Amino acid sequence: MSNRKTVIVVLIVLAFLYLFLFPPFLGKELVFNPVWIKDLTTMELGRSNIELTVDNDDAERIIPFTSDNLFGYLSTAGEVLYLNRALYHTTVSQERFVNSSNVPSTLVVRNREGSIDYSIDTNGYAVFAEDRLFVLSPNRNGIAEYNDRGALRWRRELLAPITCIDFNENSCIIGNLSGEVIIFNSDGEKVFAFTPTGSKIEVIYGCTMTRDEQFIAVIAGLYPQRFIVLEHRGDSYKPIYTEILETELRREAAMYISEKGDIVYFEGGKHPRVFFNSEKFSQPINSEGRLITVSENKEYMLHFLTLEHNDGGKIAVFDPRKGKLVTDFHIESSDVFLNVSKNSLFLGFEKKVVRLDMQMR
Amino acid sequence: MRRFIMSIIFLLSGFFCFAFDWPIGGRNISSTFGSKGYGTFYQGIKLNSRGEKVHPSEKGEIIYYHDESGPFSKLPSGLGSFIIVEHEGELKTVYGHLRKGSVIETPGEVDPAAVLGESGDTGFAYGTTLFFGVIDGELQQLINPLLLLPPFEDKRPPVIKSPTMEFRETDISVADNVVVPSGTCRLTATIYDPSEHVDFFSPMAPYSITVFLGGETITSIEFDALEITNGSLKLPGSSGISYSDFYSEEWVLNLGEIELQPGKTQLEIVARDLGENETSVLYNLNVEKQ
Repeated sequence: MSNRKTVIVVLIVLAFLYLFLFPPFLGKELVFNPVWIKDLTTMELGRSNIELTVDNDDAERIIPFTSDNLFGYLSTAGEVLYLNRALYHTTVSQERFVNSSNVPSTLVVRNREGSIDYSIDTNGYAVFAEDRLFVLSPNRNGIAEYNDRGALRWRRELLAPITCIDFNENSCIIGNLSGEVIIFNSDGEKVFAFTPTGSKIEVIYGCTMTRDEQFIAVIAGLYPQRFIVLEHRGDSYKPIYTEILETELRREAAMYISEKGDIVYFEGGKHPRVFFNSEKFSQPINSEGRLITVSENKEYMLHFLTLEHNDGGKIAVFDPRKGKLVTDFHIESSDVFLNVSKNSLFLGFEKKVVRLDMQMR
Repeated sequence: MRRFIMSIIFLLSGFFCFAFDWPIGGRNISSTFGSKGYGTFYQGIKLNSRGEKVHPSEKGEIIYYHDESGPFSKLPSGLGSFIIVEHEGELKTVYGHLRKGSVIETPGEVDPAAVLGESGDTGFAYGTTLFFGVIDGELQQLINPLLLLPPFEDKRPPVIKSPTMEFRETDISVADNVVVPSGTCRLTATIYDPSEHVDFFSPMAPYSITVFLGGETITSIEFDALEITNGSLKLPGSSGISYSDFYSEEWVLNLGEIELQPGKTQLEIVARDLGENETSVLYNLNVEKQ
């Protein structure tokens, strides 16, 4: 009898120990604490307040943003360091921005104080990918890269319009109307070209690649439309997964591959889909909407998806380890800006920016 | 072979129907294929319009579209809102600068009566306009759309002005009975095709340019197609001339190098447009031994 009592006491003690030592397994709640909100309509346009930052050399503390025809830089403390009205096309990096009209013949590259850094005499629209500067030609079938002094590094023209694009530190991947996926290295050399076959119409609708270029993922073709993941093996890439999709997307499809290539998010009809590379399977995410962007939070291992849904926006928080949606919430604007920096979300919509700090409790 | 067949179709235009219909009612062309456009060859035609409905030029299927009213994209669009339709024979037509939000809501199979959208000013466009381009997937070429569209009235012939021989040390304006040194020089001239439908100066490329020296053809350029060679667009039928080789200054065309032998000879430049209007200039040259 006393033995039985001892066993029960030991089990109770073990249960308490489990509760204290392994609380995550019992399910914690994700809480967003509002820190500040900025109404950008009350700010002066075109004026630099860069001196407001305590440590303006710390680039991590500065958040570039574009939201509702406004763009600029914020400090994580909520100071508006630079704000201006976005013209036809605006691209903002951590250090610089280009804000151009619809027919620019010169692209003026400015630093985050708004002063001119350099300019490029070319036609087209600029795109910053981190701090690399690309220019897409007016007919969308040419791409060029410029260095940080505005000198041309390389330029390539293609027959058919570019239909999707993704960048990393060293390379750039494009898909085009001819059904070709091409990777250009930092010298503009074509280092890989792949033409998926097996559909009646061969067009590349989405493409993405990991930072180390080990994995690439594409959405290709019509009748059927397919999701394909390729892995770098030897001198080339080999398809490691192909899935026939129920979608018939005929426009650019958003895709995102995680840093290590273990997770891929992509459009999948009513719901975005997620692909798990280790298990080689995909599933829909239980939140309706068209995928726009994905950001990662490393500490809590959560992924934040911005979606367009019913003429509004949505933020969906997905836990890739559990393969489950943590939460989602609707925003009354389809033009949503989201930056995830450490454990803070910087959320912009309707000319307001909000900082929300995440906490698990 | 295919270009040959297209040329035959073009020549027989008076007897047969054309492959494509005009995508909008107006014929107000302000840029032509191969003309100087945005730092590269203009890759289609530009039709000035006032927000007209845009129709597919032939039965086909919409295989790609982009609407500027859509959400954020990593890929900025110089074509603005645009639609691409695939037709039989791997031909694709491109309709660019459509009005934001006007792009057809249910893309799929379309016939010429369907409305793809309305012409607009989205993307890299000056005013309300329509970009119309043709891609030949089989030949891997961009095709001059005017070869496939029904002809339009055009009575104004191309203009040829200021032919110049550029020698190493001096430039000589070409005139009748001019004295020039023997040797190699680069021939340039201002050549364009004025449009009677556009009331502002909007010069367009002619369809073909031929240069004769002493009765022999030394340069023949046709604006029928563009293809990619070594990562840039070139005129395939003209020894692969690239944009930077061809256009030097505003509408000054590089017509290639010529070798002048001492004696009397004739230089003739002939430019034709697709309306079968032709302009030719003929100069007698006195080439002196250098």
